[in-house]
Amino acid sequence: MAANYLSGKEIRAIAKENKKVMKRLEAYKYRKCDESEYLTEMKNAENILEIDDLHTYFFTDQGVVKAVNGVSFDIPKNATVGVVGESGCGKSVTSMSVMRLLQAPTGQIYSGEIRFKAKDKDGTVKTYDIAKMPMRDIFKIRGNEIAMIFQEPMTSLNPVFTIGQQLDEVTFIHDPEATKEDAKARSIEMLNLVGIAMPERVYNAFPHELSGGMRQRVMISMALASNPRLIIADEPTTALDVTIQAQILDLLRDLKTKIDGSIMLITHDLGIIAEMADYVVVMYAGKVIEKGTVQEIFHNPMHPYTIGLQKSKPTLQSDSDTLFNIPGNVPNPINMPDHCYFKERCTNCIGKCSGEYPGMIQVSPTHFVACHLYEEDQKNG
Amino acid sequence: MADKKIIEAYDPEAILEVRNLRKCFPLKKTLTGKVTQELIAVDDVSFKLKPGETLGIVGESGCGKTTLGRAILKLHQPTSGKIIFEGQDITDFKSSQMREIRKKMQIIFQDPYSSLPPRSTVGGILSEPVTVHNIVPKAEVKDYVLDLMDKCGLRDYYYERYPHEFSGGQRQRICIARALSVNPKLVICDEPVSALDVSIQAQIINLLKKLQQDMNLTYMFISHDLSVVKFISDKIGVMYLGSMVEYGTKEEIFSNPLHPYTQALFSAIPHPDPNFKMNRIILKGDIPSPANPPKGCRFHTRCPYAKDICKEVTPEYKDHGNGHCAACHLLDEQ
Repeated sequence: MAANYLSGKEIRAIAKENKKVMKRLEAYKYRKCDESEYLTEMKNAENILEIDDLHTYFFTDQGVVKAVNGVSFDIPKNATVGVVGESGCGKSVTSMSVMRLLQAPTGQIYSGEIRFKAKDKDGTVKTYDIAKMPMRDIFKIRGNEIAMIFQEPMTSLNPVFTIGQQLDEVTFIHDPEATKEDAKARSIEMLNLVGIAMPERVYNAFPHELSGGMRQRVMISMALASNPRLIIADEPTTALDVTIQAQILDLLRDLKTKIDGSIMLITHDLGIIAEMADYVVVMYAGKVIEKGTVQEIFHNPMHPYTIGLQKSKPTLQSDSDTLFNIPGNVPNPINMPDHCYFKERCTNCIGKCSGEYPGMIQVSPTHFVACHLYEEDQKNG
Repeated sequence: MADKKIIEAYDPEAILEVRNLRKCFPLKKTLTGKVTQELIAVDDVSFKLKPGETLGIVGESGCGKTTLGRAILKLHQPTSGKIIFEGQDITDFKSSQMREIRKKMQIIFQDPYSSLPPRSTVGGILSEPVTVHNIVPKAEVKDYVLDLMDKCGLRDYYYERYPHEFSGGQRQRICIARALSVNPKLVICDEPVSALDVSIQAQIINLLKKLQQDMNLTYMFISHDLSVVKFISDKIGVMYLGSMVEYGTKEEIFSNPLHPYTQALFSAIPHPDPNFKMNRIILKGDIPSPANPPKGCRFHTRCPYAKDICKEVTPEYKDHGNGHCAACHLLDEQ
């Protein structure tokens, strides 16, 4: 395990190479183009979002970090899709790609499609490819059709503006004809919706005056203010205490029925996924390793990583003496191996695992797994 | 002088005894230095800990669990109360006297990223406490450290490396090795796994358990994650707004939680099974500010069973059989 040290010369060579690619991708991002160029069709009309073979790379001086390396999954209408994985597995980068909020110019969508079914102002349904949309058109969707709830409510609210000012802004941006009174009424309505007891007082308060749970409620109300059809919740409860977490999860579940939309829930907590999600996507080192319905993932996990992840979490009900643990660490994101990324940590490797990366194997209509272990089964019958 | 401080009623079996410990932080002072407003971080906490046991302390953020751990180590000077460690009252020990005690009491901090000095190598970090406390002769220090690294699952070639080269789990292993380098008897683990991923968390918890058996350590395990606490502890203390609301053995607490807060805390944990239906008690409102705690029972603002008496009188913390202590008016009535 030699450490990965680079000389100055090597770093400069990488940086030069990266600059070329980044320049090309940046120019593509800010190009002027007609709407027809990024219109597509959904593969399945029941889905609201389809991510197809998405590659999001970070061009660092140490090399290209393939944070998202060929991710595909769908979000059906009115469903909650949970994306679960450890830190650095690319779950947040996937959501940032959907929102087109990647740190430019280092972070770039390299290839792939993100198809989203959007409603135009006049009510016609159009399918956009978010990955190809130029940045000047992205506001049609971002914050409007797709809203996001961020992890850290403290750092995502602006400390120098009152909650009211920040909430009103959403209405002003997405509805240019709105008056001040309209915006205020809408904001107060939103604060009411998320269960804030004294909306008038909170409206005039600054973020520092609120507790963590209240701030997260404000963030949720901000996301709801534009009637989005998809909410991306990126670790919405990680910074909160368990009792407050229970409140927020309860609220999210409640809201999903009220707003008639879909939720993409990103978390590392399997418990939250089991409780909230209808479909689960398990990610590891930038790839989807298993996806299926919540029942399939929890009652019939197939990938050794999913199994290990479930066994390594202590629960209140288990009584064993030692915890199962997955040995080793997540591999270095630069210079990923050609074979299965989980091979070094896997306990049931077979000879084939040293070969190429396993493809997605369909186990049931909704259950997919990327592991060589199940290829044999499929061939045999 | 130290001999005088040996307490008469001290339990000879306990390695650590905390009696009515209280820690206040001044918030506002007048010009003359008189404290006008204070924050009571730890209020009247008592417990005993026997050698080889693990006490788990759970509670939400701001409930004073970290302050309690630090006060026991005297990283904060307690405002009142007593800390009795191995029969000695260490509450008023000077820092020179504490130096001897620190050999026996160590702490593992929460954040492995900020608790390691970035400019020393792993070898340097681990050798320093050994040389300072003269644990082994100078010539044997390196061998001793390498042996310790092996015990904590660190490879020997890490000796020359710097902390920034390691992942979170490896750094936490270094922190554990540093705490154990002086052969302590009591280790206070202040949220040692909350900054780590699930698969790494399991590795660290298993390591802590193994080391406890090998070295006969006593742990005080502070965490907000109940499932982790359940896994590692023998005794559990539940804290809310600075005071201990319930204390008992793991079996007692989990099979028969007495305090409404403990019940709500248990029910709030998401269970990793989609078919599992739990009668969830969702607490209303937020945790009150510890600078301005509510009158009477501190939990009454959020308690689903609160009565009039709860708003006025602070419930007494007492034994409800088999050393299962709790502070709640509802229990007194039964």
